[in-house]
Order: sequence, then C-alpha cells, then structure tokens
Amino acid sequence: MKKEDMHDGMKGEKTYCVFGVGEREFLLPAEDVREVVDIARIFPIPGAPDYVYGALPLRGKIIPAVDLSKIYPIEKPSYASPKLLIIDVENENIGFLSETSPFFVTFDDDIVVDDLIDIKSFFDTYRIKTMGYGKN
Amino acid sequence: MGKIDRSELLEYFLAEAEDYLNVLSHGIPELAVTTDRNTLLEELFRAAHTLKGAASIVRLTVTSQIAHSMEDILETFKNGQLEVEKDVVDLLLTMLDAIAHIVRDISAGKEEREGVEKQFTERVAEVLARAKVLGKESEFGLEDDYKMAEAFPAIAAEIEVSAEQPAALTETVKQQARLPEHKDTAVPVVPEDKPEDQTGRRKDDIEYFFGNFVRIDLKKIEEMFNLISEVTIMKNSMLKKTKEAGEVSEAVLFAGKKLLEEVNTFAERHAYTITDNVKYIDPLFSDFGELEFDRYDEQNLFSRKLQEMTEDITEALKELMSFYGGFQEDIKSLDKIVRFLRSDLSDSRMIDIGRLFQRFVRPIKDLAREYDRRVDFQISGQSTKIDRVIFENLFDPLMHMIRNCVSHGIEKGDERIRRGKRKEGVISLSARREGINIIIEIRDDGAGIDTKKVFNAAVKQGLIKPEEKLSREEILALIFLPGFSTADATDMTSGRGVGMNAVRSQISNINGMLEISTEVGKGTAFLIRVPSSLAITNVIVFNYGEIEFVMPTSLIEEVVQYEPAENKSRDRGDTMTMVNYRGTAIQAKKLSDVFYINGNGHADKKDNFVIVCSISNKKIGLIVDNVLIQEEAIIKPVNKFLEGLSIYSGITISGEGKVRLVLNPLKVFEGETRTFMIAPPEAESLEGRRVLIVDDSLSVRKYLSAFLTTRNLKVYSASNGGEALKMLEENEVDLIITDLEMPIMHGYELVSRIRASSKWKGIPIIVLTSRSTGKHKEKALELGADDYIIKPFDETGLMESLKKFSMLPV
Repeated sequence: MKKEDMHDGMKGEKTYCVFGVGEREFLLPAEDVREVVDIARIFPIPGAPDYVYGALPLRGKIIPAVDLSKIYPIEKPSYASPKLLIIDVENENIGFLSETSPFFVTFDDDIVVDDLIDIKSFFDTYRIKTMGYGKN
Repeated sequence: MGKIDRSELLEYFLAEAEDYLNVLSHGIPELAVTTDRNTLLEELFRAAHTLKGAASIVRLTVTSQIAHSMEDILETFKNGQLEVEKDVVDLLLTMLDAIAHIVRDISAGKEEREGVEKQFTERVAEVLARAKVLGKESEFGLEDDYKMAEAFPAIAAEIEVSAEQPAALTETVKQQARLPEHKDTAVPVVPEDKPEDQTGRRKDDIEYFFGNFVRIDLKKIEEMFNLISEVTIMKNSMLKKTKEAGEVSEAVLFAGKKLLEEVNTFAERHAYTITDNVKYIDPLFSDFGELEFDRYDEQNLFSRKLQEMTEDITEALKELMSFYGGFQEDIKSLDKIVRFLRSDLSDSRMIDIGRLFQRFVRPIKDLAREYDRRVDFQISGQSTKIDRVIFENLFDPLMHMIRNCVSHGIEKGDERIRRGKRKEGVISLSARREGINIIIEIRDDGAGIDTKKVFNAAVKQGLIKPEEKLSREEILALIFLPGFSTADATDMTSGRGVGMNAVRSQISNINGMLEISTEVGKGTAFLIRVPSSLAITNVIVFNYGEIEFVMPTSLIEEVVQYEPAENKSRDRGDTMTMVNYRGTAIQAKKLSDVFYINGNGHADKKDNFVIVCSISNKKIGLIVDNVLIQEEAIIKPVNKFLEGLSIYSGITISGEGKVRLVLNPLKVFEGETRTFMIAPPEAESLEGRRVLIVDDSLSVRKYLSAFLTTRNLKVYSASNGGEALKMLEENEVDLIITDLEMPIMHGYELVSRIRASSKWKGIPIIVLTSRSTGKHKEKALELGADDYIIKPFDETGLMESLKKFSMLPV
C-alpha cells in the first residue's frame, strides 16, 4: 500500500495469517491466502525435492504442498491432522502445510513482523528449476 | 497449392478492421466536442492510416483509397489547416460508412464494388482545397500503397485474385451472408431518446460488429476446460458408482428370486396342509377331509404371509431395477453429452494445419534461391485439425527440418540430372489423422542420409568412439544427439550445432514423437506423431507401488509382459537392463531407477510389464509394476512451482480424485542417450537471437514475425511502446524493430526511453516506418535509433540491416 493512499492521521493496519509448523509459527499477508483446506490425501511426487511433501487436487487444479520443516531448522513435525494454506502467487497456487488451524491477526502496519514469508521471493527461490535428480 | 490463401489473410484483416472502424466511428463525432482534440486526432489519423495499409495488403484498393482520403482530411485537421466543421465531419462519417459497407460485403464473401471511392473524390478535393493545401501532395501518395503491397510479396504477390476467392472464405464467414442488410440506405432518423447525438446516427451504426468473430480470451477457454474436466471427473466417478450399484442390485435381485423360490416351495408344502400332530386338536375338522375344508394353523398363516411379503419385495426389486435401468440410461446420455461438450470445446482450440503449412511456402522459396536449388513444394492434408498449442509449437521444429531438406537433402539441379532425377527436387509436407494422433510427414527426394558419414562425423565430434559398433538405427539416432552436425561450420542456415536435438526436444514437449527414415540417393522422410489434442489425451495408466503414472498412448509403441533377455552381453551394467521385445533384446529401465527410489520389494517379477517406446528410431523400454488401464484423461500443465521437473509433461486427476503424473519418455531416457557423449562440442550460434517487433498493425507484425522466424530468430511482438517496455522487462532482447506512429506510446518516446535506460541502452533499434521525410528520420536517429527503414520495405534492405547488427550471419 502506498503512503499516499492512506488517510491523514489514520494509521494503516495489516492482517496476517498465522500458522504453525513444529515449534515455529509463520506469518503470511492475509491477502495472499486464498483458503485453508483439510487434507484428505496427499500424493507424493517422485523426483521433487524433499520440501515438496506432495500434491493434492483442488477443484481441478493440482496444488503442491510445501513442508517448511524441510527448509527451516524445525524439529520434525507430526502433521497429525494437517491443514493446507492455499496461497496465490504468480498466477499460480501453492500450499503450505500447517499443523495448527491457521488464525488471523491484525497489526498496525508500522510494526515489523518476524517470521513473515515473502511469498514472491519464496516462490522464486524454491521453484524447481531443473530436475533434482541425476547422476551428477 | 503453395499459394498464400487470401481468405486467411482476409480473416486477419476483418478482425483488425473492426477495431479501427470502431475507433473512427466513436472518435469522429467526438471531434467537435472534445477538449483534447490533438490526442483524438492523433488516434483517428493512426486508425485511418493503419486501415489503409492493412487494406492495401489484402488488395482492397477501394477501401484503401477511401481510408487514404480520410487520412488526408484528418491530417489537415491535425496540422491546423482546417477547422473541424460539421460538413467535413459528416463527409468523414459517410466515407466511414462506405468502408463499413465494403467490410460487411467482404465478410459476407463478396468482393469490393469498384468505383465506390469515386463518389467522394469531388468532395474530398473540395475540402482539401479549402485547407489551402490543394496541389500539395501529402507525403504518402497513393503509389506508396501499391508499393507497400509489392513489399509484402509473401502476402500480396501470391494472392490469387480470382472469382473463386470469396467462396474460399470459411463456412462461418459464408453464414454471415445471411446477416441483415446494412441500413446505410435508410433515412437517418434522430432517435427521440438520444438528442445529443448530433450526427443523427443510430447506435448500430456507431458500433461496428460484423459477427464473424467473437474474441475470447484464451484464459476463458482454459477455464471452461477446467470446468469440463471437473465435470468429467465427476461423471467418471458416477459411472463407476452406477456400475457398482448395478452389481449390488443384481445380487439383491438374484437373492430375492432365490428367496421367493424357497418360500414358494415352503408355502406349497405348508400353506394348506395340517400336520398330523395338530389333527386331533380341533375335533371339528375330523368331519372333513383335507380338501373339503381350508384349515389355518400358525404355520399356514406364516407361510402365506411370507409368500405375500416375498412377492412384494420382488415387485419392489423389479421396480428398483427398472428405475436403475432408466438412471443408467440417463448417466449414459450425460456421459455422451459431456463428451460432445468436451470435444466441441476442444474443437474451439483446433486450427487447420494448412495454415501452418502455408507459412513455409515463402521460406522454402527463399532457401531454394539461397542454396541454388529448385524445389517443388507439395502440401497435402491441410484440413487436418490440430490443437492450437501443438500448432504453435510445431512451427520451429518443422522449419528446422524443412531447412535441412533444402540445404542437406535436395541436390543441386545438375547433380540431380546426373543421378537420373527430375531437375526439381520435391519436398512434401503432409498431415493425416491416425486414430487419436496426427501424423505429419516431411519428405524429400534428395540425397538421403549416409550413415557412414554420420558415424564419422560423430567420431570427429567426439560423440562416439571410433571402435563402437552401432546398428543402422543407432547411427541414425546419433543425429539427435546434442551438438551433432554433419554440415560445415560455414553453412549459412543449417548446421549450427543446435540441430535435431532441439527439434526432438520441442516435439517431445507436445507429447510428440519423431522418427526418421532414409535411403541414400532416394531421400529422407521425417515422421512426427503428435496427439491431435493436448487437452484430452488417451493415456496408459501404470503404477509404482502407491504412485500412479500415465503416459500418452501416442508415445507408446506397445506394452508387453516383462521378460529378461537371455543375452546380457550388451547390458550396460548401470541402470539399464536388457529385455526381450518381439524376439530381440532392447534396453529397458526400471521405473524405480528413473527416480532413484529404493527398489526393494519391487524385485523383478514375472507379472511386471514393459512399456516400449520408440525414441528417434530406437526402441527402449520402461519396466513398471503394473499396467492398470487405458483411458482418456485431461492433462493439465504442471504447476509452475514444479515446472523444472521436466520428466513430467503434465498432471492429470483420476476419476477417484487421485493425482497421476504424466511421464515424458524422452526425458526419462535422456540420461541414457547422453551416455554416448564424451565432450560437448562448442558451437557459436546466432540461432535464438531475439528480436522485438513493435508495430500497431497486426498485419505488419504477422508479416515481420514470419519473416524473422524463418530466419531462425526468436520474435517477440508488441503493439505499442508501452507494451514494448513491458516485454523488455520480461524478456532479454537483442534487437528492436519499431514503428513510429503507435497508440499509447509512440516510437520516438520508446526510442528515447530505451536510450535513457541503463539496462537497454545498448540494444540496437531499427525504425521501420512509412514516414519518409528527412525530418522524421533525423529525429529518430538523433534520439538514438540505429537504422531507419521506410515502409514499404524490401526484404533485402531489412536483411542487410539485420546483418549489420549481427542478427543474421554475414
């Protein structure tokens, strides 16, 4: 949001979606989260890096489910009744696994939020560019 | 046929003309009232100018001349030589109506009526005289238009202007002939509710819509496709469930029948009989015999009740069965309707392959001239329909193969005669449908491929060791290796080390297969097999443990029972094993080895299967646990996040909602064919240099883009400066060709912005414009353009300029 868009004297607020993996909590800007779904079944994708837990079909689209515990140093989560946060990014959807039911919080937008995932740069960094397997 | 189909170009023209007519139609009445007249005039002038150019390309001279006159008048407005007066505005509108009428005629399959433009000559001259510029010819005289047509030889020179042409227009266009007649003869009536419209034009005269085209965002079609796939998955699941329900109800009916039989037998015995031990209980019965009086004891009553109930149940079951029968019929017709819907929708993305074939006519002529060959280019099967996505992805590989045919295949004229052949070499391009696949064949009657030469070249390039023993098929497969080339390095258009490897890869991206057959002295044939539709594909489903995969049947030669080959002498010892296929041993790879997953518990079993594929003439097998079923699937592109997993060409969802991965066999075995490689040869290549075309006319963009792609350049196009800057943000570009007059952002601004940017200031810019005055040129060069070419341009001039900027080999 640009500064000029705000009303004078009024502080802007920003809403985040909070979800948990292992002992850690992550935040995402609420507008990036399209929906949260219960996971019935995830299908493994052979050849994909380990942080791609699998993929699941959602209304005709296939959403890759990302396990953040394979990217951040987190103790292995149990994912007993996992939820999947469906994220809108680059005209595509990806999902983050969460052990807890995500909830939303609102902060003044001048507060710097820790553990915030910049979804665009995450997508660019972890998007699979070449096959992860091979002899070399 | 070998001629460019005018009806096809007319389709482009009609689509384009509609836009320009609407711009003019909305803008001209605005002239009198607008506050920003300059911008509007600029826009109108450009619309008239582009319309003129586009019309002249498709040889609509009347339209072109009227548009030209409109342009002249608008220019006098623009230069301030003439005030915007009502009578002039009316004249412009009448001229516009005349053009609209012609366009309507054209879209109805008629030709231009000659002389329509003459009715305006006098009044236009009078207006221009008023502008005190009478006698001063504007800078683009009419002659330019004809020159322009000459400069587009690929389009204009080969148009067959004949009486049959209008009839050659597509069916859709023909149907438009039934459109209501244009109302230009009606007396203009000012509608009561629209008094502000001073021109007295009705709504339908302002908005031009010829009804031939409805533009649909491809995204919309894709969305519909997604929905259809949802419905299909749902329907498949229902079909499966009804089948299960059918089995259950049959079992129930069978059990019911048996029950009825049992009950009936029981009832026969007991319904009317009294057992001996009850006889004495009722002394009254003793007077009657069994047949003389009906007696009822508990057993009798029970058995009769049982009988009645069983009959009721059977009746109900019968009703249920007949309901089920009807339901099943309904599901079946639903299935049919969904199929129709799906195929209709998929047809909306289908294009005649002939349109693709025609794009090669011109390049072949050019190549033949370049290589001093005489080529007779034959096309057949043009009406074969092909998926839009496949259509777009076929041009590059086909162009490459055709170029090879001309430069390597066809011999020079005198050599052909020496070999007892016709002086003219034949290159034929054909397409046909074979089941669910489209077969495209490129055949030449040239020199053929000498396997000895190929072998030696491969040794020289370090691709194989000289002592290797290879079969004929294996040697031919060498030409698909990355870096392979038989041509000398100085070769102009082929042999730049990109070659057939890229071609094969491009074809595999569209689930296609490429095969080659050749005979020395007789010629070479390339056979491309692609699915007719990428969206709905017939696939084989197989699994590895829990994970299910599919492979398009178009890529599969055969599925056979696994049988290890006796002779393991050629076993590579790594991941490949040898299996028996029709009596010969072929290489095969286990699915588990493809992913380096632990194969334990999936040891070779007798009941394993081998999916045999043919990859550039070489048979190769994939060993899988189990082949489940063959079915139609809707293949979706792989999620962008997973795009790098090139081993998958897509993903599909099964009827039960399972994710199935689409394997691309070429990528599966790619590592294996590469084991041939010792050192990758280096080849400097101009191929793949990128050009950005910026021009607001669709026809010019089409023409230029065809011209450049046939010269192996990658083309991006933008319709104005703004779009161009966006393209530059997203793509690396080596050269820019831009028009000057364009909406939103004109060429001058584009040039100065590019020169001002640190990122792009080094990119050469060629200005391609119809402005021929020195003033325009000076300004362009001053702002930083590197070259200035005047439309209509000739191809050599452009070629020279491209060479200057190292876009083409010198």
